[in-house]
Amino acid sequence: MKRVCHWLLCVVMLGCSSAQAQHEPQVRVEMSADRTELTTQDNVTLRIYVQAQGAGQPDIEVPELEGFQVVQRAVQRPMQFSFGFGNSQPVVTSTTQYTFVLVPMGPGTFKIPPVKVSFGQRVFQSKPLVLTVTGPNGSPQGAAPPGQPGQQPGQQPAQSPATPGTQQPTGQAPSAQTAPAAQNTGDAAVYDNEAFLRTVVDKVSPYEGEQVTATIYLYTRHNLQQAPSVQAEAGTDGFWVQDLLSATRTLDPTRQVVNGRGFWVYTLRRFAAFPLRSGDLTIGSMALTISRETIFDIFDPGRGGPAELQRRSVPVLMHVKPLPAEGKPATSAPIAVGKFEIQSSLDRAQVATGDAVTWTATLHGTGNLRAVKLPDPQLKGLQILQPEVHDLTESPDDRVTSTRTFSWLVVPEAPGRYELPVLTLDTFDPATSSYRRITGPRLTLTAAGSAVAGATSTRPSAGKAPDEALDQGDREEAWPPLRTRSRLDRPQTPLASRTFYAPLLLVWPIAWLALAFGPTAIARLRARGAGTREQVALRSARKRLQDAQRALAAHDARRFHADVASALSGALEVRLGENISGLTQSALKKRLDECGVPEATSRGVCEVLAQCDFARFSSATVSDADMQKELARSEKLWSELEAFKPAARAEEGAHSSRQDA
Amino acid sequence: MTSRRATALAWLLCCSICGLAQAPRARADNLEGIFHAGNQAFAHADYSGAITQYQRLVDAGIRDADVYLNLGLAHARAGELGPAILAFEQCLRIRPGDADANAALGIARAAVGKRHAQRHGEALVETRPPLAEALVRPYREDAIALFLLVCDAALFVCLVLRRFARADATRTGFAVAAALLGLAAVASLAALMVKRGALLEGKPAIVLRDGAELREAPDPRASVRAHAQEGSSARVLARDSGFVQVRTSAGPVGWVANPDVGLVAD
Repeated sequence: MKRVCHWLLCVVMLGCSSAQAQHEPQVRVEMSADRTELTTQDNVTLRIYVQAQGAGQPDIEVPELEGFQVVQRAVQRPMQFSFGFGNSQPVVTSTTQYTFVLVPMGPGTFKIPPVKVSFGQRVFQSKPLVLTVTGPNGSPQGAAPPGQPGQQPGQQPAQSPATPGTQQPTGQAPSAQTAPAAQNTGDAAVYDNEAFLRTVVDKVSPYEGEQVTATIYLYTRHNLQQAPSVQAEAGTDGFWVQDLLSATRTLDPTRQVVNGRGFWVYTLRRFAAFPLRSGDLTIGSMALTISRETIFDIFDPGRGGPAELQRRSVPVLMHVKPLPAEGKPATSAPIAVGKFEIQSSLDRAQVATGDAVTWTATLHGTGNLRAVKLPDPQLKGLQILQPEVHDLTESPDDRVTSTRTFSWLVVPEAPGRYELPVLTLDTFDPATSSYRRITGPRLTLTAAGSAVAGATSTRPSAGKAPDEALDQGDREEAWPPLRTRSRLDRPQTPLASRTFYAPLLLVWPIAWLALAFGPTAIARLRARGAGTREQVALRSARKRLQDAQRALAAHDARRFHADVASALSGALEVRLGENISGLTQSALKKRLDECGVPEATSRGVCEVLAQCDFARFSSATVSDADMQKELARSEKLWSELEAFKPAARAEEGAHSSRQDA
Repeated sequence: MTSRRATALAWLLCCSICGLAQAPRARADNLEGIFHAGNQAFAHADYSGAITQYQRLVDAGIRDADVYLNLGLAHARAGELGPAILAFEQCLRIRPGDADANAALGIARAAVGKRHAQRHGEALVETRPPLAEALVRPYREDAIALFLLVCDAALFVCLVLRRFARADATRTGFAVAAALLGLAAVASLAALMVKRGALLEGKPAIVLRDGAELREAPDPRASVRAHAQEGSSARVLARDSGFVQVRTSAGPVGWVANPDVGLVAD
């Protein structure tokens, strides 16, 4: 139980650490040399080691190696594994190792700038390295013996190779600690019942500069539960190496039967190696440790057999042939090995004198172009600056294709028509063992107008950096080209800031709202307006009754009766919807009956109105008590009229309510 | 006499018209000349001369993406990465899809990171803007505003047509179209607000000098709260007597001397 808890704790901690690693990239950058003091007759091996952990691929900037000539260069990018638990971004550990063999060009103290690594949003760098080079007799150290990659000093070859050249290797069990002797075969391996490494190269006698594709397989009896730990990479001294496998990949094994036993086969490495010189070169031995522990061991702690297996691959010796002398062009320029073509163009064919034009030449084809340099073209009347060079390397179908672009800035110093020199490059095709000279198109540049004073007197100088802190690499970044034409636009008010924009934006919803709810709202307003008129008239009539009350208090009988008559007439006109001033008593009674006014009300109204008419002309005969009674009766009649609704109006009102609903 | 006067008047009128017609062209020729002078200075690696010429155009009221790109390139070549980043941002504000400006901005930011790492051993580089800004970054503000207007009009046209449509299928179709247009209108309205910076406080700006001091108050004697990295984004919150109050992308708020910060938009 305690052991299970221990394992669970380990798993949780592993998960936490992997999550942490995703957020904070860990980068280790180291630069070292096998010696820091040497003579001009010695060489020094410089190693740059970058290990990055986290999602993504680090961007490594190798420093300029000023004062030294690079005689060998190799890049090793081991595999990158992800063993996660369903994380969306796998935790990737990548290791890159550059190895340079340098020969000093003269005595002195040379400071190699730090290696810069951009990873995620951070930039890391190593410490700079100082190398002291003395004269021929200044150092007691001797030069390291070249050409023994994959074999450490003092190591003894362990055993003879087993079954060279066969697809299914058989033979002796390998030694775990010592490297086997190199084999001059395209398929080298030492068979083992548990696990072994197999190195396959597609050719063992390539030409100098020709691509050799090397693949290292791991054969294991049991499926890997975790990534094998690489102890030593296969040495590729003397080669220019390009990885052919994806930088981030998963180990997907295939099944293969060797000597009657089933093996899981993992492709660990596949790279294109371009020999940089002729002679014997070796793809060295790769050493790794395979762990056999699994998480299920907690159920079987006493399982037999070693927990780890250590294996080494067999080095492969190659005889690199020099380029054939027959037909070799007599040139000191490097010959590109492969199949290439050359394209050339000007960004403008016509230009004002003194104005700059960009001349671009692109070399593209199958093979390695890194060492190829086109001679700087020169033409009288043209100022041609140092080119910017950009490289692009791809490897479709395991064949390396390279594109190298040269961009010259050309400034015509005088008007005229210039025939630009045709760009040429000598190539060697290993497939046909023949040389070929490829040429670019012929280009013409026309310069017009008079030169600007002083235009040709200034040359760009790399040493005149306005900011000393900005190094050469930054200034030579692949900045986009200058714009030579411009409309010189002036600022315009943004559309959203113009005065018409907001109203134009609002007019549509407002129009829709008007269309959707307008008719209903209008009907409601009309109905409300009608009701309002009636209410105003009724309030006015009611006010006349209050006036009558004040007239009673003032003992003004004439005004009292006039106000009472006016109040009742107003209420009647509101309810009947017509003017009643011209009606006689009988006609009014008849109209009230027609409208459905209750008999008592209509009769009372007529009587009060008649009495008012009479009293207005003989007010002296009316006492206050009579007026008091008459006021009370009038108020009662007014209330009945207010509550009364004619039948036709009631129907109309009901119809309007239904419409509103 | 009358005929002579009429002839003189006609000549005078013609000359005035010709003069008025020539004036803008002369000015345009002059601006073109300045632009070409800047390009020639650049071609001859006279980057400070090129900056002077391009800046003259900007001072003359030109707000052109090409001018800003060239200005940024000249600053970058001269090693002034902060002003270069500002110019590239201004270029992208005018012409958001400009691939060259995008590439140059990336290179400039990486170069700032390298430089900072050289000085301090480690650098944090801004590689991408916040998600909302990144989503609207490729589109011009006017294009978004126009799209919003079109969506708005189309939405309400759909609603009106749906009101008058008789067939159920047609009404459903208009309803679906109206819903989609409504979503598009809301999205474009949000995009417009993001583009105009309506959701953020202050105006976008770039720190022009590495290690620019963020002070507690708009006074050179005020204590320094933090230092801003060259080329980093900031928001200008206030201005006071030669200082601007900024909030840097790293978080701190403080007062920075006016020349140390450049506004992306006027």
